[in-house]
Amino acid sequence: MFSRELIAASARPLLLSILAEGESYGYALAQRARQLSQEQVQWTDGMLYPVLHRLEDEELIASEWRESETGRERKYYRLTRTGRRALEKEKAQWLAAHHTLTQLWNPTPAST
Amino acid sequence: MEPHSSFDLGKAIATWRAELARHPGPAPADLRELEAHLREAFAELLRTGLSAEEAFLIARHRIGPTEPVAAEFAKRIPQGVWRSRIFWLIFAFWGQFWWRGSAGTLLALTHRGSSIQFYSRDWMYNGFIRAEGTLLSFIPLLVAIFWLARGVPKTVASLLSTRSRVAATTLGMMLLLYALRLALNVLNPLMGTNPVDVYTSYVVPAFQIALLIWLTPGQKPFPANVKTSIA
Repeated sequence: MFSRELIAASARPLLLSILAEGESYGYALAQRARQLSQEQVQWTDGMLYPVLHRLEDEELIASEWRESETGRERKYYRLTRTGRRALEKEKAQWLAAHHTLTQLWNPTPAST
Repeated sequence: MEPHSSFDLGKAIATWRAELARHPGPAPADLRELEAHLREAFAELLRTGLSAEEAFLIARHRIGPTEPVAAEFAKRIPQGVWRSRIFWLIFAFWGQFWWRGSAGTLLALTHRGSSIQFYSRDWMYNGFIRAEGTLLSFIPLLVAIFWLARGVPKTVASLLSTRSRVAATTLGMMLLLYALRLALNVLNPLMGTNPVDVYTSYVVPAFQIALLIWLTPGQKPFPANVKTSIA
């Protein structure tokens, strides 16, 4: 179970990474996040939007209201070029943190 | 179990949306987006064989409790809020000039021959210290601001929580202007001009500026004190 702080911190790289797969809209993003975390992260869907809007303010993502094939109106988000660069940075940081911790938690057989 | 026909989706969504809108956070565009999400979730849950009412309840639950969700929206502070605040500030001052002029004429008409004077032109020197004129110029302004900030009772409640900030800003400005007053009184004789009554010319307008900045609505006019997390 993720702590609230960790959920808050990981929302940003998570949303950027999902959008790196292609443009998407709020509901689908929430579903994808839920599926990826295998229910380990207790998302509250409504909380996704303020994060998305902040990312949009930073011009990391862009949005557009469009009608889907089924006639439903949706606000589609897509990653911008700045967003792609920001995601690379995020990735590097998270991997570095992950690497640091795994060195302690998974010692190589030689060191045990 | 109640029959499906007793559940009105449109009505349920309207109620839920109105509840969200009562909080200062979500803008109309945010509500539209949340509603789209709710409808999407509802439709999908309906396909799993749930009743309309059950599907609605679960969809609403997934979006989250209205208050923390709304508060999360309130945390967004883009520059746009400041742009909007400055816009309203300028608008408010312009409106005040306009109203002051009308109120001055009105007062001059109704108080003809009495000792009350209302100088719509010399407002900096005279207008602000006349209670009647000040009240007259502020009431419509405050009504407009509260109306624009939408959800009047909530606004008043939130206003109380930002009271300390209003006080701090005002105090800071007053101290600054007191220093200015001292400086001006030293400079004025040197420049051959008369000492200005700085209290009425700067301090009172400064007080109003401070107040107006915090009263003017933006997307986030009154930040809610909510824990910093997204879930």
